[in-house]
Amino acid sequence: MIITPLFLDFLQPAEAELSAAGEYVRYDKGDDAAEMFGERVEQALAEAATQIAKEIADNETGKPFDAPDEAASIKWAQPMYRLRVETATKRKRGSSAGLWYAYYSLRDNSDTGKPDTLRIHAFRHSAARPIGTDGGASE
Amino acid sequence: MNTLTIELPDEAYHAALSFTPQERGNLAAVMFTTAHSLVGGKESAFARTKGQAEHEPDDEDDVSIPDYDRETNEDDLAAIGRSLQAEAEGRIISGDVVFARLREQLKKR
Repeated sequence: MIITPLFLDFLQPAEAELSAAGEYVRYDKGDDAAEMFGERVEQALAEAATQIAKEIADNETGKPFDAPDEAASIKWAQPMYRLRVETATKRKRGSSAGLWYAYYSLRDNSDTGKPDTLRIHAFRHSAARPIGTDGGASE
Repeated sequence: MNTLTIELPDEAYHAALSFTPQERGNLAAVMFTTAHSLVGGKESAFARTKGQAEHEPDDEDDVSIPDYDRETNEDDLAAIGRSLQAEAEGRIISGDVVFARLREQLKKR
């Protein structure tokens, strides 16, 4: 059976966060790293759109295998998921460098009863903390 | 006794045939129980096991160090809240458009 990947879209604030992340990587690591960052994020989200579509097709409940993120789902009263996006060529275990979180929801835009869209709500660095909790601004 | 059907590559399938049904059941039970205990309730055993399979440790990895992760925090929740407001206002952008813009933005200067 041929599985069509989920349609991928972004909410405007998430696009702004991704753009800012790209500029941060360029500032911190240079042009080559920034270009690679963009390629890896695009690849990771495209793979997720394909993998989750397959999980939804395989699962009798029409849901992906991964559980929603509890804190975000409870806060906003709807299933909200978190995807780990690794952008570093080589990331050491235990290090937050090159690890980002894409928060996403699954939407049924064509009203078929099953999700057809992977919607990105936020794109955050894994080391980001609320301002003031560690004496400085978020990374 | 619960039954679980899984698809195996040819090589794994032929290897599995060398075990008795009892041994196959025991191996599968150990594999899934171990995977589930590693998960800590945040991600599915499937996702974590898949991730581990795709990232085999090498000399630079110290597997005794747990991989980095953190809980969703208030800033994350606030960012999601802003996005839901944007969604209500119809500020939705196709992924193709987003990545075309990003590629253009991040082109070498």
